[in-house]
Amino acid sequence: MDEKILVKQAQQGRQDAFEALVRMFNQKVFALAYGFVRDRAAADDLAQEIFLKVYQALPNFRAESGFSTWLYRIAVNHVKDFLRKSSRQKTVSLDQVGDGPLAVNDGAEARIQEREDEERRAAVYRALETLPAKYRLILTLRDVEGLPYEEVARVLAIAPGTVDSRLHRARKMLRKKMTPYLGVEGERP
Amino acid sequence: MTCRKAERWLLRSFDRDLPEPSRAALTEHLGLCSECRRRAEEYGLLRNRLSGVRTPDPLPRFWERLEARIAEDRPADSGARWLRFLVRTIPVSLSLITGFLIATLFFLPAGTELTQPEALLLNEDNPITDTRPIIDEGRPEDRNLMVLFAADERIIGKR
Repeated sequence: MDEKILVKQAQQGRQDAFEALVRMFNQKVFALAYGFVRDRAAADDLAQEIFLKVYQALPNFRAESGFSTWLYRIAVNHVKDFLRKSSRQKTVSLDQVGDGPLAVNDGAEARIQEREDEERRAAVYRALETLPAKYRLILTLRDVEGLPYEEVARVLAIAPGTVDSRLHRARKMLRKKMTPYLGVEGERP
Repeated sequence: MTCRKAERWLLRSFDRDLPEPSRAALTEHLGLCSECRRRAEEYGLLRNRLSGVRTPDPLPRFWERLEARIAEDRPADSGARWLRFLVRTIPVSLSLITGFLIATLFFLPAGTELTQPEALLLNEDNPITDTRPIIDEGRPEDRNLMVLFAADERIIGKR
């Protein structure tokens, strides 16, 4: 069913319409939360809290922006609050990034490769977690979630020019943190 | 083109298409500058790793758990709203009562004195009781004239 109709019905108090909306967007909201906490249970809990907020705020939704933009905005604000409260700026040493020899379980080349990729990805995420919240947020929305540039501006309620400059700084900071570990030629320093 | 400008255009190209002259200039610069080429590869690698993450699914029965939380939250929420409303009304009510009392004390008219006719009326006295025997003594024509003259103060003044 059309998203707008579902939103209208949910605003009128129809639980089944709200359920349909939740089923439509829970994966996205969960993925956004997971992008920050990197923990399935914690991300699930955050996603639940976000939808609870959405449910409470739904009567005030005026459809001036799209529902998904509004939902993302609530999600981002909730995640920001969560980060502020938990102030979990992890001081993860980037030296942990797969320096040790990888265990070879069954000798399958593909599995080794897969595991290496996963470790590198985890390293990038750990570096991302060390960035200030606003840079971490914008990189998560744009490069992890793949939200269009204009949508990022709407969700964060900032001007496109600000998105531009903030993304620029965020990517530079991330690269600076990761440079010693990137090793483009041969992948590792 | 400077390396700094090349980096800016390179990062911008991840989000939108560059105008053709800018794109050509960037390509040319990357062809000549090994440092910028390496930088471009690193940025590309980082983007790939960020976007290629495999997100797990939410925990099972997401909606059912949320539904329970909504139901749990609803009565508490309405109760809390009422409580907040009542708490908010206390100072308003107090200020209204105080205002009313002040208005009563300062603006209520003081005890009014009754005029003579009002007092007579209140005590059910007849204003012409004293003059009745005199009036009754006279003839009816005189009586009428006396009543007429007594009623007209201007004439009394002249008299």
